[in-house]
Amino acid sequence: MKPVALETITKAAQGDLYAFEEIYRTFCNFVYSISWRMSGNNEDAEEITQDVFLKVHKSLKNFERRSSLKTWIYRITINTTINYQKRKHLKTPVSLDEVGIEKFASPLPSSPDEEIQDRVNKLLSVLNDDQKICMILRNIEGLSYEEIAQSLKININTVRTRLKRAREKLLSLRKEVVPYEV
Amino acid sequence: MKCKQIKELVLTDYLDDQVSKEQKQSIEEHLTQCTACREFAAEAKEVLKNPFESVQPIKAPDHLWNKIEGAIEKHRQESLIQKAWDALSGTFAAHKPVFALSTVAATILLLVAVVKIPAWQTQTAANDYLNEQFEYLVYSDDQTDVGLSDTWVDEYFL
Ligand SMILES: [Zn+2]
Repeated sequence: MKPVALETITKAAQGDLYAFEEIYRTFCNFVYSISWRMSGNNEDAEEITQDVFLKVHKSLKNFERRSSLKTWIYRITINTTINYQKRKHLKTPVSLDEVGIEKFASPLPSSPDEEIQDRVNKLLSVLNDDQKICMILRNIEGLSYEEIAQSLKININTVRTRLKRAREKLLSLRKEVVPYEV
Repeated sequence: MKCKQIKELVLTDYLDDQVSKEQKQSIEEHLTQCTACREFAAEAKEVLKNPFESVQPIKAPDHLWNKIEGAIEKHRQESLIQKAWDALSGTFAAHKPVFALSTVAATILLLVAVVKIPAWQTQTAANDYLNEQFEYLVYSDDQTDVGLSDTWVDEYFL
């Protein structure tokens, strides 16, 4: 991800749509990816992404340079995504019973790529939103603990704890699905 | 370190490569000696790390920018109409017919501009035009004190 020039941020804050488009191009895949993984479908992901960039557009002039644009957009993305999930009553983590072994052993998607996506989505679907977002930011987006802490406005030990709980859960789940995976 | 501590580190910092050289060394020393922890570490890597590493990046669909651009434009127009409307009602409340009239005229021009020139292609021209109209509107309102502050002008034009 190429950092956005300060001049571009200033221009975009002043209403220059070309400058804003550059900001959009820099961050759209990150924003879309997070919202897609959190919501699990294209329509919601599009709506969340649109919402995020409208917020960014509206608030850019209030953006304080103390944090980086990246962290600031990450934070807006995460807040918007989590609130959207809450509104849609999707926040309740799917319990193991609901997900069921059956779902985990569902027919495999057509391509190996899809198969991996599907598998990862199913793994993530058993976590609560706090755990899920930490796993996505760390395991998929590759953010450091420090970056995750900043994006979520939590301390680094909380990041650690959430990752640990999430992973313990996934390991315990694995034991249940293993016989059905073959 | 005890097995419990080792396992916690394996699940977090060790798996995520966030450990110092020394920490890494002492964890790995333990792993060579302790079968249970070694197996745990292997399983953790297989279940918690490997599947994620082959995940393909997800890209935002191409049409999304057009949607967002459209929404920004729509929002801009709605705000302009709202502000014009507020200014208009404010002027009548001010009881100064001369200024009220000039403001009404300016507002009508403004509304016509907003409605007639919606596309981004004509944005620059439309913006210049709107700016002019708004300056006029703001100046003519100066003495009627309808509460137009710099803030909202800034908000839309600066
Ligand atoms: Zn051990």
